[in-house]
Amino acid sequence: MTAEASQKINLPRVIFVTGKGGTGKSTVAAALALALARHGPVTLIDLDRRRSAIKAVSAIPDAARRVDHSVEMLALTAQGELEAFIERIVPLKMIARRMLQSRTFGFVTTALPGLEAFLILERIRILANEAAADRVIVVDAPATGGALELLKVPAGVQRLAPIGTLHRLAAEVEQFIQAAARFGVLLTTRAEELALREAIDASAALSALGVGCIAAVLNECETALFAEEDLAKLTGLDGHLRLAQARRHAADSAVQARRQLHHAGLHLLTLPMLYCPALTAAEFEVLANNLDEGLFAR
Amino acid sequence: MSAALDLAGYRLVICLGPGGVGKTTFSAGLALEAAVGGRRVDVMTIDPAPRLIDALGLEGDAAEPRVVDLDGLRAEAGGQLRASRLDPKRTFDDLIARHAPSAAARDAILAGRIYQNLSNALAGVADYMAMERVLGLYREGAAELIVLDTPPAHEALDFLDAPRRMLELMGSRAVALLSASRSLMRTRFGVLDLAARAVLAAFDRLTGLHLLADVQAFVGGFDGMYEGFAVRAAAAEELLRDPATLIVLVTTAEQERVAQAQEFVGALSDRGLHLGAVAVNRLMDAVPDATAIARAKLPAVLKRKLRRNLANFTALKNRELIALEALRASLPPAVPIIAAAELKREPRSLKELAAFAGSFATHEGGDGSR
Repeated sequence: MTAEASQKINLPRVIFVTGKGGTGKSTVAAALALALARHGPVTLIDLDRRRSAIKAVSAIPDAARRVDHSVEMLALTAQGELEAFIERIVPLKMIARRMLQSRTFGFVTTALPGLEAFLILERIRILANEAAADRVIVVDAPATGGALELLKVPAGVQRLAPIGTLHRLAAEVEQFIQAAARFGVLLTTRAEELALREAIDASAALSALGVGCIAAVLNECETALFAEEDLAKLTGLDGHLRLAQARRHAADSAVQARRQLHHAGLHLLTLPMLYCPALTAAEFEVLANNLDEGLFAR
Repeated sequence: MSAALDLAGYRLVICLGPGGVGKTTFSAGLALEAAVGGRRVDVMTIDPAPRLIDALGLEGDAAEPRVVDLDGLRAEAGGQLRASRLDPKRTFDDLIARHAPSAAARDAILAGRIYQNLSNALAGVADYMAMERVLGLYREGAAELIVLDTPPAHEALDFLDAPRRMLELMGSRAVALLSASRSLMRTRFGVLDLAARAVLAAFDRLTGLHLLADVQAFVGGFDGMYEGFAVRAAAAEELLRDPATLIVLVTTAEQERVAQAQEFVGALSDRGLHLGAVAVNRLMDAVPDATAIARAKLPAVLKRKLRRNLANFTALKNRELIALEALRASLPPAVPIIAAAELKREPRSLKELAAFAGSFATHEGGDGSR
């Protein structure tokens, strides 16, 4: 679209989107994929069993996506990665398949700490390495707790396996997630106490892991509509006064949330509250526009 | 006692639901209300928010129930609330210690690499431990009612499956397989299990993990503990199906959460478990009437703002109603929907928590006022 567009925030090859449940993680991942597809090719990887981000993008007709590049979509599951891995190390396909069906084997592999999580990260690393230089990979990751666990796995595997192939692989994956140009986390949050705390705590946990935090996305920001003196005039209009107060409160919370996130040293992207009964292509365009403006200068 | 959810006759309330829907706060509110209503109640929370820790006095190590001071809440005579926080690791340690055949077996398990990593690695351990703790409290009998908050369920019904999965793991062929000698294996197990073991061994050699020996040591350590586990897990399973147990599914009216809640409903019925109620947290208030704006004597600019604000909130309320209708349609008609109000902030005191619990009301669908 705009060859001269330059990044306001340095974006890594892989953008790992996580946040507290209910902060719009999948919606943001989907909108981000659409925003980035205006500038270059994008792969959207969904780690959510419900495939929310992929469903959201798929529901938007191509004509309404307004992107210059295609969005490739890929769902990864722990089970699928484990199967691929077993098929790689077991030479006979039939044996591999029947083995995977054995419940015994299932139990044993669950007892291997973090194996599945590790295989997922390894797959993302391979995809990132193989992709063309201008392709960006957006990952709709698990909610904060699960995502942090996932990112701790490479270090854990290295502790478990002090030498050998797996140790080497784990070290490579750890280097990959610690390289700011290749991997970074985007934290979604809302102007609500617990969601903000979780985002700020997560950013601290990420720096302890040596993983870059690209920015926080403050979702559903409400804008001020009423001044203090407006409210004074609304006595007698109880229901409307209550709504007006709620609006002011929400707008104030958004301002405070911005301050708090800024204070925590996070880059900030904001998305507006969308007053609509359902998120359709038009709403995703609004979100993508906002992200585009937040990420690219013209 | 809440008019919305009559807990008389129940001894255990299990609050299930996806993460981020306010399950812990809801559970605490429910327990507080029952205690204020005159019952002796235990509430077990998982990972409560800092405000709730303050409100319930759960600072520090609160694995054992602590009596919550109900002064100032005008609790009925006999009412008592005890609160605790689940520590899955510690509960697991206790469980091992209780069932291990000897001190040496106990120490071998607790010090093992596999065990140390198990709490993260084995899905459902936290869930199983929640059930284990409840069983303990239930048997102890100090409370008339136990309200249990559960770990956020990422997938389907981790919590409900936990006792069975744990039991299967302990008693499964995996244990026998890994602890059996090679010659015994040939006679007792199929080619596939042997293949699984062979691949694991190869995997081990290739990777340098040397994990197989640890896995063997771990499952070997459980030898002789199976009985104890089996009895506990069966009791836990039974408790889930007890007529005095109420399963409450907690959700919000967001589209995604409702879709998740619907999956829960299906999974419960697949397991033949009875869903007692669905609680929808953070429901918006009903929107006011637009005609009041027209009648009011206000500057035109302000009226425009009011209309815009009303239109905005109406759109959000409609979003909520669409989701609620979808939820209602997927529930058996006898299952009530309990609505809980949206809070401006997390409860910071027992009074605020009591006020939140006071907002629980039966939601009957449509515009919410029928």
